[in-house]
Amino acid sequence: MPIYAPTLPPPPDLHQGQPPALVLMRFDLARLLRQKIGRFFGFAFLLMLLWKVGRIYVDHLLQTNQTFRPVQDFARSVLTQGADFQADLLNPAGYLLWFLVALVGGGLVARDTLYRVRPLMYAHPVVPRDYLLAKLGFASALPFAILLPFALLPWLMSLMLAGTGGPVWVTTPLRLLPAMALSSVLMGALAVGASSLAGTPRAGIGWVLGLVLGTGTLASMVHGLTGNASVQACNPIVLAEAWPQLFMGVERPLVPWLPAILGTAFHLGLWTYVAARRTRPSETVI
Amino acid sequence: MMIALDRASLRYGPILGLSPTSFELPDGGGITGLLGPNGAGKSSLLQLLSGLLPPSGGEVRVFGQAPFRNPSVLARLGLVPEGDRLPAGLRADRWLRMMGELSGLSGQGLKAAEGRVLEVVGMADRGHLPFGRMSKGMRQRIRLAQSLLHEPELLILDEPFNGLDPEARLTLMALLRDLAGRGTRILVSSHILGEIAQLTDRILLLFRGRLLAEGSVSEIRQLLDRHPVELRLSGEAQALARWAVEQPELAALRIEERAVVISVRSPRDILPRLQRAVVAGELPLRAMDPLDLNLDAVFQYLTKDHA
Amino acid sequence: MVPKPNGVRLVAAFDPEIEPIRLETPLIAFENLEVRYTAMAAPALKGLTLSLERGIVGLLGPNGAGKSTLLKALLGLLPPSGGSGTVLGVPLGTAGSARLRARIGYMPEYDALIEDASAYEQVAFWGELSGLAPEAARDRAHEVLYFVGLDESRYRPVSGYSTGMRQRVKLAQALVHSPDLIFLDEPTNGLDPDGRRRMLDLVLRVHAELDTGVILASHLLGDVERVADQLVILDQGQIKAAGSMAGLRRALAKRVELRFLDPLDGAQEAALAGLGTVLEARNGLYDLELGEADPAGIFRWAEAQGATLVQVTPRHDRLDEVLLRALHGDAVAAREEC
Repeated sequence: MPIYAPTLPPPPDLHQGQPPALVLMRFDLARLLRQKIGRFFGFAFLLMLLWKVGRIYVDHLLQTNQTFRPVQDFARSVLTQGADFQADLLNPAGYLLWFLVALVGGGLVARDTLYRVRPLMYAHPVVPRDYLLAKLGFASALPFAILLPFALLPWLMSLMLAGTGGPVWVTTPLRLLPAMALSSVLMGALAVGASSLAGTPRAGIGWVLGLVLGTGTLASMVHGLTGNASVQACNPIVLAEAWPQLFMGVERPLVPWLPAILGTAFHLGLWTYVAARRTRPSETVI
Repeated sequence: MMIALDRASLRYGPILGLSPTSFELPDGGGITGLLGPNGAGKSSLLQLLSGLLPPSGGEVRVFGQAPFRNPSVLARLGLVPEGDRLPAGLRADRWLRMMGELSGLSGQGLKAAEGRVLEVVGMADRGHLPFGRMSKGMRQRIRLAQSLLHEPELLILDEPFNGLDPEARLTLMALLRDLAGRGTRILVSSHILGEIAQLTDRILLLFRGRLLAEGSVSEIRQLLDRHPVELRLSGEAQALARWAVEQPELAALRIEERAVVISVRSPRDILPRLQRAVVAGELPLRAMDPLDLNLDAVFQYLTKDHA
Repeated sequence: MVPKPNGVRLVAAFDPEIEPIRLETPLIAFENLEVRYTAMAAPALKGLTLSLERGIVGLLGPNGAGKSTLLKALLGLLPPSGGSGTVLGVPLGTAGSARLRARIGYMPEYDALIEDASAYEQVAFWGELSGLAPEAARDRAHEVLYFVGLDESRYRPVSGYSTGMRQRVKLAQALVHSPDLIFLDEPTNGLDPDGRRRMLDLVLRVHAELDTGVILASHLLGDVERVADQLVILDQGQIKAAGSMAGLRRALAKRVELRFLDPLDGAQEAALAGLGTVLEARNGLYDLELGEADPAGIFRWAEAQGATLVQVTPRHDRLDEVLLRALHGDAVAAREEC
């Protein structure tokens, strides 16, 4: 019978692990789950989802049930349908989602700055690109994951209730998913960029909210004064709202295609650059 | 007596700083080390002595008077508090002048004092630098200079070596020894035993809010008679061991390569006998090293006994 | 338990790209190494020629001497701009040097702890970042936390930990992936005597039991003296002295240190002159240069004077003397002597 020394056992194998970016993202997810801020947001998002799905069901009842025939015309004028309705599926979550992104994303980089763990990360087999990828990925995946049921559930229900003739088109997800992805990446990049400017998670939340509301208010003011709608392309709130409209083919979108593309590219580029600059290894001297 | 504490205690609300403590330090120069683990009451004791806080109970007397808010005592003691927070943009000499004015110096007297203390700490040519451009060791020296402006008889330093690099440490130690040699009584707190051992042999050991021991390391070690003294005898191990096992005071014996380590109960009895044996040529002894006469061992014995 | 082939680390068996490390591979071997932060900047390290065995290396030097630059060079973060060097047998500045980071553990000086995570969570996280599989990292985190002596508290967030516990989490973090070399920056910072002793014991165990090379950067000469077997003194980006501790702390001929059971009186102190020259007397310890180097003679002298010796030890260079000599050359050492 062997006797083992009361010391550290032989090591497990290295180079069997997951890519660093994935490890970092999983750690952020574990922190998010631990923080338990999900309850309020879960409840709020669930209510909104129920409202959306409920409208489809009401619409279905109106279409199929003879007793509602007298009010059908009236209902049609109240319940908008087609592209507008579908683009709107993602919309009401807007402000709440921005708030959630600020709350979670604002601390993503700032917390590492506060705890001074970034230099230690770079002393591991982690390169700045991994770090940036993880933070951007997590900050974008969060809104995407929350929007996903908003895009899919009403669509699925509509198909089940009314088939191809329902208020939601069969091809809707093909249009909504890319729009969602663009809006989510925009939110994520902004949150990570703002967070990298802050020294504490709380300040990070402030930075995100300040940047979003600040540019939003400014763009709206300029819009109001000059009447030029394309300034709104600088407004991240409007941009996030505009992409579903553009993809769904709404007649009068908040921002036309070209300004939307330019605005989004500008925000993505700027905030990714800011985050990359602020998380360089030379800035965080070991 | 320069310092006399009579059952002086300090509580911060419900939190214990220092249990009732009594001890005395005589007049005259010399360095006393104040030792203890974190939270032992070192800072509390220093706050009482430097008159920052009144005792919650008992009496504190420095130069025969209570130091709390007593300018006639405070004028005779200098304090270097813990920490390294000084405005980065401020010039050291301006800060010194300000501190000197607070001590009641002015005009030519202040200028002379400033020059003198900068000279003492070896910063005479660098006094014009702002704190931001100084190293930690230089700032520490300026902080020491500040405490010397009014030529105090008692100097109190709280953790002065924290964060200094080895050379700055050595410089500061030499400085303190020099001051002590000129008749200043110095009280230094630290939790790095080696530093205190290099500075002084006289210690006050605080543990869990009370005074555990006071005196020189070797005196304290002798009082710890429950713990045998360990000696490493180098030489011909076999012969040394043969001699050692015949001694009645032997408590334990360990043989190393060309040395034996013996534990003996009463060194006062066995050491003269050992010395005679060497003189008589019965013992091939090349070196003798007491392993637990040092501060580390004393500290460990004392705190372990009371843990 | 897989038997360990003699002298070959297990890592090697599973990763063909990594050269098997033999124990005789030097920890570090630099040949005139030079490192710059940017191509334009002055070199931060220059002319480093150094060979260290796998052991515990004490790294001394003033603030800003280049310790953190050296660390970055070891980690492969700064490629050499001149000369050459190998760390754990891997040449610096090559593609393989990026993989060095998985084999080096780093314990920073400041509190690099994730305050809202428990010790267990973050040690497992750092293990995964070093390339352990998730499950393996979790098992390993528990093992390493036991090794450093953190028991029940490992499940609580580290924000409530004492300084001693925080230092141990930092050490566990550096050890989780079983590195071949760990770099400890001021590991005893803020610890009281008991905590400091335990941390240094751990450092000794890391080397003795895990066969890990250790570089210990510290301002506390006592710490270095206690654990290190090799010493590197760095100043202004250059090596001022390097070598084995025993070699650098040479024994001084005819010098002894004496201590007596009772303090000597004035007459006895004066009589010491008959034995040799008293170079220094502090706290009852006399540093003597003997006329003739015979231990028995010292005892005879003591017996004749009626004093009892407790300590008769040959005088070696103290570490502070080694350091001062290295930093300032023999000029200062000579001044010290007088």
